[in-house]
Amino acid sequence: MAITPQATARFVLVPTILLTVVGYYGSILWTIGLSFTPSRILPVSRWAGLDMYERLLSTERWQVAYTNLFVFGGLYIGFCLAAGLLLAIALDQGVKGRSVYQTIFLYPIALSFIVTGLAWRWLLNPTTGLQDYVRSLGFESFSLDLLSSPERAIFTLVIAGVWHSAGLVMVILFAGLQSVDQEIWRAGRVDGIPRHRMYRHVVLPMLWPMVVTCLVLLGMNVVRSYDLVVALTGGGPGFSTDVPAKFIVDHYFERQSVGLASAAATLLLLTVVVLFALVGLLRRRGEAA
Amino acid sequence: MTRVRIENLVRSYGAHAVLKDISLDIADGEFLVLLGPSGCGKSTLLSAIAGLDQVQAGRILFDDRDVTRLEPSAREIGMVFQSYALYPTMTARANMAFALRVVGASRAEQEERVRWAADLLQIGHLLDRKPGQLSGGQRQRVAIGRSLVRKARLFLFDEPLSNLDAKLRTEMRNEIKALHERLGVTFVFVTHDQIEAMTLATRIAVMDAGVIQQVDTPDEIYRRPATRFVADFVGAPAMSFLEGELVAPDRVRIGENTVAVPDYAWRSAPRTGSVVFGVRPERVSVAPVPGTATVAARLRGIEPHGADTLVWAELSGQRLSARLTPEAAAGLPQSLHLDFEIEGVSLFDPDSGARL
Repeated sequence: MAITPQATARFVLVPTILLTVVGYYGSILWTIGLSFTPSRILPVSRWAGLDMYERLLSTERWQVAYTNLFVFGGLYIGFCLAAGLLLAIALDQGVKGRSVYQTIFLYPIALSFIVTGLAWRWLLNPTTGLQDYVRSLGFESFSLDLLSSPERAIFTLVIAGVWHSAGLVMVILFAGLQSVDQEIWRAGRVDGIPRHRMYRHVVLPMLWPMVVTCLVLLGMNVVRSYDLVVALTGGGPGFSTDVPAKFIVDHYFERQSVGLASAAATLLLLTVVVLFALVGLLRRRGEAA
Repeated sequence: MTRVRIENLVRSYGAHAVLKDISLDIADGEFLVLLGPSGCGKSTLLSAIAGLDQVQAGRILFDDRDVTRLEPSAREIGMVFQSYALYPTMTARANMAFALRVVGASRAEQEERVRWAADLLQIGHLLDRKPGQLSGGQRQRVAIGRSLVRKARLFLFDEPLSNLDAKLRTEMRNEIKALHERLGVTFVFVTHDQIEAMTLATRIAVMDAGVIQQVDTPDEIYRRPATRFVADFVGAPAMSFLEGELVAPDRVRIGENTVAVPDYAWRSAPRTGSVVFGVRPERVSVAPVPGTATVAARLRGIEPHGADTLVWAELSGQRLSARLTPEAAAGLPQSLHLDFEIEGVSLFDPDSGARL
């Protein structure tokens, strides 16, 4: 029997498929399974029902971490979109030296969240960073102490995150703005439509699919936000800036409660699935529109 | 009701002059077509009239009012674009009403104006659809409707039919012509399609390389082209051009043949010397026997076009074509005797290209 090129291609793909199925989906299933066991340092296979979920939901640290996911996520995505959009519109207006600005604003993306977190940690450190610098200029009463305040430390994550990712939104939306047919702008001028109304009623609705793309990319950053937190605040003060990903890693590898961590991971997965289903709905509505 | 007067318009991009000292008068209620090959400056001229493109020198007057520095929206114009340029996320109705909505017109007024334009263009049943759900011809109608809704004194069309297929193009052409007759306002229409220009225009302005070559009625443009460029650009199949020499005021020698041009309408007193002899293919006929007015030529090829047949012949080493009926073209011998009707003949200066 002759081997067709298609058969060869499938054969070559077998290791990749196996790796994905076992390593990826298998791990997810295993994690879900473990969340129904009272595993501590090592996995055990004794059925414990929803015990771990009950314990998880009554753990204050998880409550804070889960709330932070939405506080940080909402503010981070909101400000990234707003800042990225404004920057993109500014570039689209034909600022001189456009490519220079583009590079400057896109540059932070090249840094990992670890580096971003460290840089902002130094910048916001009261004794070495901005506060010290401004005081040395003579403004003795100047105070910029976000990191040590449990209520406000979460905003340092937002600031650093937006600084890191707004450029990405800018680039995506700028590409969208550039793809708008110039004749549409000309039609708007003949019709006497002011620029800001053209943006609001005509151009932004046209960019909807790109906004959804940004939403997905930023959303993934929020869900996996671990490195930024570790580098910038370490989850503190206390556990005021904890996020689910950090909670999960800590409980798996440091606090030896595999069952609890698995329950948390499963809840996080569930949240993500729900959120992405919502995004899918948004996207379909954009297409219908 | 608008007369348009264009005075010494200049537009260049860097060193490249797109409009070179253009002057043009468009009468009230006229349907003026700007015709020319791509890159001739016709769209730039239209943009300048619309105010979408700033000019470096010259003036544009609407009814003696200088509008050269006015924004497009202040010029009371309607414009239809090649790509239709509809707002893609809005329904046809919202597209048409948007300009009125922005200036704060009442809902009733918006609805009334949209209704009027929709009835005129027979698009009432399409008003709730978005551009993506409309065919090319329907989009074009909505685009025209949008330009009608604002009360415009002048309508500008930038190659509006070039994205449509042939059948639809003919249909829309007739509709635009009917619309012009119905509204009675001034239309300026840009195209590179000579059929569109001939069928629509009350006058055609033929442009080439940033210069208006001739402004005249379609008939005049076709019968008495002012330059060799106009003669070559207008007419399909194209005019044949033969290099010759004017040996007497009524005689042109082409190679060893001599063609009589007894009743030629000279623009200026004829001067002997080299000339370009142009003749429309449909004004060339094949005589069965040599006569006093015929010239000898050799048959080079036959192209059947259905309604007629194009016969290619060689006359003293130069090619020309004759448009004959299929019957007349059947069974032609190798050596032909051609006869030229003087109505189809144009003589040009070989250096300047100007009509003699």
